[in-house]
This record gives sequence, C-alpha cells and structure tokens, in this order.
Amino acid sequence: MMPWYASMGLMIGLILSLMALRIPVAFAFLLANVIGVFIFMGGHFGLVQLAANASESLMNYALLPIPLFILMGELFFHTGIAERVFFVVDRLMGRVRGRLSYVAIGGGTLFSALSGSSLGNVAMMGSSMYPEMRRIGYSDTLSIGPIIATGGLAAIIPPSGLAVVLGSLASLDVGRLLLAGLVPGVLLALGYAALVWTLTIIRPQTAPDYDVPQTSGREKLRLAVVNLLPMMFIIFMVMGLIILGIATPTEAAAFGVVAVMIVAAFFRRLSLHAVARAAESAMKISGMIFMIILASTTFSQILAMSGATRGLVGWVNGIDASLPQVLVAMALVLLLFGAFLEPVGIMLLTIPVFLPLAQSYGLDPLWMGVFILIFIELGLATPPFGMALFVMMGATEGKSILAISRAVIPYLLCTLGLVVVISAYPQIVLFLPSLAGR
Amino acid sequence: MPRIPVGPIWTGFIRSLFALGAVYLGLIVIGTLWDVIARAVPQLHAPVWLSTVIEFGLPSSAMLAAPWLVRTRGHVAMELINAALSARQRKALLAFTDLAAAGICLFVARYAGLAGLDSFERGEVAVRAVDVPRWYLYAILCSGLTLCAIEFLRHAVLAACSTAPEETTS
Repeated sequence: MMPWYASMGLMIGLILSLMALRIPVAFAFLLANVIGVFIFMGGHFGLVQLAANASESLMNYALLPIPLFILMGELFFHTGIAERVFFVVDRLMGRVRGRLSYVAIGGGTLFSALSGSSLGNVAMMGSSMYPEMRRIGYSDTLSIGPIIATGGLAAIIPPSGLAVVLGSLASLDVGRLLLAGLVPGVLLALGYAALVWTLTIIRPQTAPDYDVPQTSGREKLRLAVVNLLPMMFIIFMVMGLIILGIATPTEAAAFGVVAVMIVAAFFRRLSLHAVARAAESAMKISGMIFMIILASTTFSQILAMSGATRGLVGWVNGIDASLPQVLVAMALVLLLFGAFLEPVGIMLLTIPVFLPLAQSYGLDPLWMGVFILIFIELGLATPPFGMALFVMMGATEGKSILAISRAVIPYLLCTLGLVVVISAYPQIVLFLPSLAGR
Repeated sequence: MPRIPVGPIWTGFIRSLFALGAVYLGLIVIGTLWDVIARAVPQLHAPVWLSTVIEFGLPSSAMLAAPWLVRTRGHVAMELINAALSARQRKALLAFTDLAAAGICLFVARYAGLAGLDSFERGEVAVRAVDVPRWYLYAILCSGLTLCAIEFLRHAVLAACSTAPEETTS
C-alpha cells in the first residue's frame, strides 16, 4: 500500500494537472476519481460504487437552496431592483469624502445579503459604479478595491450559495452555517468602510471632493421607507424565517425567490422576460456547480480509503504542531488554491482533509466552515486568477490585471485581519448559530 | 430524398433539455412553497409525491442542463496555460481535452448503465415518500453523460475541421 503522502500527492496532483490542462473542473474530478478508484478501491467494484455515488450525490435536500439563492440573485439583477438599491444608498449617503466608495460598500453589502452572488455583485457594481467613479477621479484603491472586496462578501453574508455547498459537502447544519457568516460578514464590511475612511484621511486627493445633489431629511426618509423597507422584507423572508425556526434553509430560499418577485412587482419591474432570463442564468450557474458536485463525490472516499486523510491527521498530531501553526498552514493552502481554483473545487479538495484535522484540534466545524468561506472570498480576489479580478477587468475596459490586483490588496489585508480576530475570538462566529433553534 | 437538418434538430433538442431543466427549477420553488403552506393551512393538502418530485429535481435538472453547458462551454475550466501556448497549440490542447472529457463521460456512463440494468433486474427502489425505481437515477446519469460525451466529441470534430485557430469559449 502506498504511503499516505504518496496517495494524497497522487490524487491532488492528478486533479490539479488535469485542471491545468484545461479539462473542465467537473470532468477533471471525474477522470481523477476513475483513476483513483482503479488504484485504491478495487477496479470494477469501485467503479460501480463511483456510478452509485454520482447518481445519489444530488438527491440531497440540503443542496436545494443553491439554485434558489442563485435564482434570487439573478432576479435582482434582471428586474433592475439591484440598481435601485444603489441609487437609494447613494442618495442617503450625503456629502462625505469618498462617498461613492461608501456607496459601493453599503450597497454591495446589502446586495450580498439579498442575492448571495459574488461575481454578479462585482459585475453589477463594476458596470454601474466604476465609470462614474473614474470620471470623478477616484483612485483605483478607492474605486476598484471596494467593488471587488464587497462583491466577495456574498460568499460569507447569508444567504450564500457557497455556504450551502460547503454545509452539504461537510455535513454541517446549513442553517447554522448561514447564520455563522452574518457577524463576520458585517464586521468585514465595517472594516472596509474604516479602511476607506483611513485612506481618505491619509490621502484626500484619492477621493476628490465634488458637489452632489442635496437631499432633504424628509426626502431621505421617503426614499428609505419606499425602497429599503421592501428589501428588509426580503431579508426577513430568508434569514428571519430561518432564525425564527419557521422554515428550513430550502424553504426560506423558496420564500426568498417569491419575495423578490413580489418586490419587483411592487416596483413594476416584474416581467416574464426578466423571469425567463433569470431562470436561464440560474440554471447555467447551478448546473455547472451540480455537475462538479456530482463528479467529485467519490473523491473524499478515495482519500479516506487510501489512508491519506488518516495519515495526514496522524502526521500533524505527531509533529505536535500548535493550533495557530495548523491554521496558518491551512490558510496558506487555501490562499494558494484560491489563486488558481474556483470555489467549489477548493471546497472539494480541502474539506475532506481540513475538517477531520480541525476536529482533531477541537475546533468547531461551523467556525472552520466560516474560515474556509472567508478564504474562498479572498480567493475570488487573489491575483493572478481570482475570478472577480477578471469580471472587474471586463467592467473597467483597459485596466491591467496588475493595476486591479494592486487596488484590491489593502482590502485583502483587511480580510486577513478579520481572520486573526475570529481566530482569537471564535464566539464572533459561533454566538449567532448558538441562538438559532433554541 | 430531402436532407434532414440533423444539426439544428440536435441543437434544438439539447437546448430544449436545458430549458426543461430551468422550468424544473421553477417547479421546485412552487413545490417547496406548496409544501410549507400546506403545513400551515391544513385544507391545502400537499400530495404525497410532492417531496419526491422536488428531491429528484436536482439530479434531473443538472443532467438536463449538462449537455447544453458543454455546447456553450459553460462548465468552468482553468485558463492557466493558455497564455503560454500558440494558437495552434491551444487548438490542439482543446481538442485533446474535449476527447479526454468525452472518453471519461462515456466510460462512467457505461458503468452507470450497467449498474442501472443490475438495479432494474433486482427491482431496487429509492425509498422516499413515494418509492421510485432506483434505475431511474442511473438512467438520468447515463443519458446525461452520454449526451455530454456527444457534445464534447462534436467540439473536437468541429475543431479538427475548422481552419480558425481556436473556438471561442464562454
């Protein structure tokens, strides 16, 4: 039998090599799994098992919120409600230096809480806000930076489709995992706002001062009541129903879809065309995610049967590494994978290894889930292959990937700062889930 | 004898499968709401088969959408070494990966088919609110992967026949 490190190196190396050859992620997993099954699970028997695993993989009620959350986000985008959110946040902000950066953060956070789609968030803000920021003279750090950084919040702030994927892959309570991301997500948004404030103080010229239309207090109140209260209704229909224990995440996601349609109808933006386009986009994204899940189900079994998982856990325990050292090692692996792989692939590669390791150190799996989600958010914005960077590149029309990467670095450091904080105070993550279902 | 326009008919077929998958997503939303509301309002009975239909929605819609996603290059892939290759090399690599993906799809589809036949002969059922023959799950996996394989092969053949350096990807 192969040593554990050879088995692990073979399987992970195989998948990464096949992906590097540009085989679509789902089919790279399928091919690597077939080879792994031949080697570690006894040929024919293992292949039958692989087919059985793949056919059963999506018969999982916990996965149902994924297409529904994606559909929610697409409905936001295609009915034009998302633009309305930004318009209102813009008018409420008033005259402060760097206001459009705050609008990007505030609107982006709200949109994250409403849609759960990171790249959709970046694409929408990039195309709607960036041209105006550039025209006025905002620096890249105060325009591109907050747009990409806030876009990533959708991976953490509920409802997050990626949290649902992680919860179901790691057999975690999806509802509690969604709640666990809320406080760190909001803290991160506040951290980004503090960063913008600091940058505008240190270098005021990076955010030019200019006249903005005056909005009276009465008008602001009217805008907030008419436009933001319906958004609160959507947030309540998703997160409120989960927290109150009235609906499961799947049911809440279905209510969320209907709530978005009700709000769109309220604003007279609901049309059959918008619904059809949203359904088509949701099918594309969720079909891609489901194919990866289906193709990769046997991967963790192969790692377990080859002795790789047990070997790694035993080795780390044997060298007596401290918890901070283990967390730093995990963080480096996640950062490395994040630079090259897409989110679901990262989860599939790391969860079978990281979760048993974390549990052997007495870490709460929910905390570990949020830790992984934060690094997935970082991965979306990490050069050179973070998907959000490329989405933003499309929106900026002419900015190099280097300039975009440089603009986002302060926000990535801010996110790493949050990781340090939640590592020191895990209750920040675990407090809210502990309240749910009491 | 008139020529049958196989290409457009095939394209229409897999496009329709994709649309059917999207409609199934809509039905999942309606079914889930019905289920929740029926719990609160006793007069609105949810049929026994509803939860089973919802649960089968994910594998069914995923497999219905998969071939069209292959056609439109909708399955995410890493563009890691593209920049280092010439147009001709990129085209060759793409043809190779399409063939490899087609091969693995057919290989796993074969095993899914065999397992499905075995399950059919044994009369296995997936125990749910309404029992569903187990072979159904294998059948959708086998059909979906076979259709994906056909689409990968189509990409490879078209790439071999075309004079353009590389197919566009999305």
